[in-house]
Amino acid sequence: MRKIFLHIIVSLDGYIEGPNGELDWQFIDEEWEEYIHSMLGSIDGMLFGRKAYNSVSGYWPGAPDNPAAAADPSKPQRHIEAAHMMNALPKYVVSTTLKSTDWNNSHIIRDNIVEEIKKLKMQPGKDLAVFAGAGLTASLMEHDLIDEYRLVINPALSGDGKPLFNGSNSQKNLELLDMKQFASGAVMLRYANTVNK
Amino acid sequence: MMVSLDGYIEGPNKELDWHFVDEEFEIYSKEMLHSVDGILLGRNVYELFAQFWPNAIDSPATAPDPAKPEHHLEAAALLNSLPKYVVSTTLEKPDWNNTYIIGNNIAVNITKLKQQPGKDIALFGGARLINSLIRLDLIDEYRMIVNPVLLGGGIPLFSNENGKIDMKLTGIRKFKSGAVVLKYVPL
Repeated sequence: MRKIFLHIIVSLDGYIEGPNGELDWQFIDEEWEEYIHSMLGSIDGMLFGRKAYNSVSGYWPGAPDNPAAAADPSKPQRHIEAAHMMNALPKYVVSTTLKSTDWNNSHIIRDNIVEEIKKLKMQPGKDLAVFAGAGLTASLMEHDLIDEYRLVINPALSGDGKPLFNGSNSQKNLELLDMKQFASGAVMLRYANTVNK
Repeated sequence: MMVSLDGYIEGPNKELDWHFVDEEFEIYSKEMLHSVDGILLGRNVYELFAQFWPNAIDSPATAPDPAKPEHHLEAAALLNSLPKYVVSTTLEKPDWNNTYIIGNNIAVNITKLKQQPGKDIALFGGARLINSLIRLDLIDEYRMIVNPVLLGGGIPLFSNENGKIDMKLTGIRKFKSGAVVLKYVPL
C-alpha cells in the first residue's frame, strides 16, 4: 500500500501562516527548489484542503511561463520543472463546497472522505503528499491516514497565526526517520506514525 | 526545553512521560549542566525540581536506569550545587541549597545576572517565565529538544503574544531516541 505523507512548512512555534496570512518567513533558495523538485518526483498525487488548493491553484498554472518567480531567475529550470509536475500530477481536493475546478487533473472529494482516501492509498503507485492546513490534517490524523509527517521547520517564531496542529488529536507516538538541514536554517524532520508501521 | 513535535511542554493532564531520557540524553544533560553557572526557573518548575533533586543526590534508585546511575548522580550533584534563581512573587523560604528569589524587577535583575562574569545561565521554564523573557528580549539562545511525539494538547511552549522573531539556526543534533536538539539565536 502506498504511503500518505504530510509535507508542510511551519515556523518554530508551529504556525503555517502568520496572523495576517504572512508566509514571509518561508525561505526559497536553489537548495529548496532542488528538494521540492525531488519530492514531487517521488509522488503520484497530492491531497489538499480547499484553502490550500485555492492558493496553490492560483499560482502554479501560470508558473511555467514565469521564470522570474524562481529563487534565481537566471536559473529557473528547477522551478519550471516543478511547475510542470504540479500541473500534471493528480490533485485531490477535500471540500464540500468546491463545485468545479479549472486546474488540470484536479479531483474533488466531497464525501466519504475516509473511504475515498483509503481507496487512493490502495491503488498501486508512488506515495501521496498532503499539502493541508489544520482542518484536513486533523481529520486525516484522527483516522491514522497519515503514515509520515515531514515538517520543514523554518528558523522564526511567527508569534501567532494559523497553527498546523489544532490540539484536537489524541497522543501519537512517532519514530524519527531522518532529518535534513538546509543552508537557509530550515530543518526537515521526517517521522513515521508508529501505529501504521 | 523538552517539547513535543506539536509544541507542548506538558500533555493535557500534565503528562511528562513522553520525555525520552536514555543514557545518551543523560550525558547530554550532564554536559550542559557543566557548561552553566546558574539556573533560572519559574516557581512551579522550581518546586518540582526542589522536591526531586535534593533526594536524588545519593539515591541511584532515582536514575532512569538504576543499574547505571553515574550520570544521573553527577547531574544531581550539579543541580544541587549550582545557584538557582527562582522568579516568584510568592515563594518565601526556599529550602533548596543555593536558591535566590527574584521577586520583582525581573528585567533589571536578570540583566544584572547576565552582566556578571562567568558561564552561561540555563532557563528551564516554565512557559510563563519563558514567554516573559522572550518579550523582554532576554533570551540569547533557544535550545529545543523536540521529542518524537504529537501530544494533541496541553501547555504550549510559546504563547501567541510575543510577536515575530527571526532566528538563526546554530546547531542541530539527533539522539538515538528520535529526539532532536535544535539550537537557535534570535536575530
